Amino acid sequence: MTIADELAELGHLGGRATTEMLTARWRSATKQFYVLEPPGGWDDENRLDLLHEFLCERLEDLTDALIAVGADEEALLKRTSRIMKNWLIDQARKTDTGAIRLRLEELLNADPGFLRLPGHAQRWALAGMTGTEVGRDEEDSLFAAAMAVPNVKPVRWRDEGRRAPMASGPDLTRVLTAVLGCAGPGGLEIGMLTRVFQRRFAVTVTSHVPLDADDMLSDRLAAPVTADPAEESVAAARAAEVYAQLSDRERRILLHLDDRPRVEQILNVGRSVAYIHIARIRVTLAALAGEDLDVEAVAVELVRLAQADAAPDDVQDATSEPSATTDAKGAQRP
Amino acid sequence: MSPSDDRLHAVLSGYQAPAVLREALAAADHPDVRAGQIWRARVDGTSVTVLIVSDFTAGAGDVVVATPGEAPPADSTIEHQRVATDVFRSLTLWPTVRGTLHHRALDVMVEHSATSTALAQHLRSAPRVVTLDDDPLDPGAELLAELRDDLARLQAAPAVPMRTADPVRLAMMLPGAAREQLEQLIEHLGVNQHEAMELHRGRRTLTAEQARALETAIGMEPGTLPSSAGIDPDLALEIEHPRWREAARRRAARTGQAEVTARTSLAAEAYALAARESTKDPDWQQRIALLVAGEP
Repeated sequence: MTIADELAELGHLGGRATTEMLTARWRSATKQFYVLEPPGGWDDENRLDLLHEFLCERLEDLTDALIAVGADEEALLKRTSRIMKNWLIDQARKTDTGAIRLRLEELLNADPGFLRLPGHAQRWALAGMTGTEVGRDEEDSLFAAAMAVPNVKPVRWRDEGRRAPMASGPDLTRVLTAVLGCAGPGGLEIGMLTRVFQRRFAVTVTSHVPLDADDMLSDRLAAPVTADPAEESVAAARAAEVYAQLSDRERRILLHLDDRPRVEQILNVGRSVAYIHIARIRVTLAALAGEDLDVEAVAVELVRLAQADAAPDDVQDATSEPSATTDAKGAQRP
Repeated sequence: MSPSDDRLHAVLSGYQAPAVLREALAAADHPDVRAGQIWRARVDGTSVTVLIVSDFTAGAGDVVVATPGEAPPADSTIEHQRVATDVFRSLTLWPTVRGTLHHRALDVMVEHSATSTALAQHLRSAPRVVTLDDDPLDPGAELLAELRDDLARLQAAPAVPMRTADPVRLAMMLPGAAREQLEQLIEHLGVNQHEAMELHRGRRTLTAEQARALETAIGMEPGTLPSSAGIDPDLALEIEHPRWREAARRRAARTGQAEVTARTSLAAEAYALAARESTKDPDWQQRIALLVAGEP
């Protein structure tokens, strides 16, 4: 009996073919989410525990969604994977959100430049504001203020098993100062601060695809930093940091940012999804433009790293010159 | 079965989809398409629920994508509307995933109620949201993009080749700029520049062979380009109605053809059946029904 037949007959997901499909899909969906991986790695038991957690929240929605799909097995598999993936992303984001909030509270408490507003346990402002300044506390303005802080550099990431930190403490404090300065004397709730930081450092904190086991990048990152102060090596180090933040999917398309059809082919996705992946990388690269370094050199180095990792076909198909393919300002070149 | 398998089976069997949803799907209802209906739309590998926002004319109209049981994360800023309807316990409407859909992609009507009609009316009267730049870092961005791609796949469902009475300006249908379009016509059809210009401006119609050659050369779905041959427009509209979809699918499965080819052959046989009669304006629905009734 097919999954669709089972679903139509039973009206629930407990049929044999459906159960097998769900456990297989769950196994492959969880594999990518290393931030959710329990200490000691995935095994059947902890994977099943998480599946029960997922079903506890989403069983009704998943059942209705799959029943509505109908008899197309490919569509059923796609819908199942999509619902599982989105729930897992939510869980990964919750761990990110919690981690960001804790880190921000740590910094806010430690620095006398920040003030917890009287009567508001969760609201923070810059100390020393007179109360006459006019603040802008909508998220887009706050995000713009966060993005405007120059030279915020991610911490070098050497541990495959842990998420990369957002940035160094002093850099995060500078961003906090800018955001709270934008908000004015009314200050901001910690929840809003967390949201702004999550958006500002989105690529860092939601990058949930681990390095491939055979990826040589970990070796490159673990190698001692060259002491050469030349711009070239600064750019190379920065490029390696940025590269480490990208998921393996993003690395694979780095050579093809101006070639959306090729990205569709590489990732086996449609036009809009390809666009989203390209746009995310462009946002990452655009953030580089605010830094005091040779952006072009970083872009060239990024392409070199991508070429070193890419399959031969990918390199051959990247017909554009490297600097044209990877415009670090995020803009497409003519 | 291990205890953990038993436990999983118990959990998965612990919720049964609402009877009203299962019955609506099993009823296989295929009425004429009207605003306010909720349909399942389908092409191979893609199945999407859509709310019909406007009445269909010439087989096509405005739809908004809806997802049963799927919504963007709570902190997403993507515009959406989560509702409960008479059939769906939880349905998310995505007003920015909206577009014209032909009834050839529709599969089965799932709901037509006062609730769904009111939702369509609301969407119709609400100003169209033009989203120039989605935030790629929004937590719901990828889901939204997947829904857009799903809608695009439905919109690209291949049409049966249709005869056109009036030449159509190919300039409106071919990809690329005017110069590139002319070069395509000259290269792929082997016509001279004057003939290419005539086709381009709509002063001449493609022959059936030319239409197929051009579609193949530039990667368009068969039947996309109008030609002087092909199926009578009224018959094409009828054969692409969702009520004949199951018959076309059965024929496709039996003969190993694509669905569009099976539809085209059904239409050709209905045309031949009508040609043996002297009726001036054949009732295509009746002719096709006769034909389908005789199918194994």
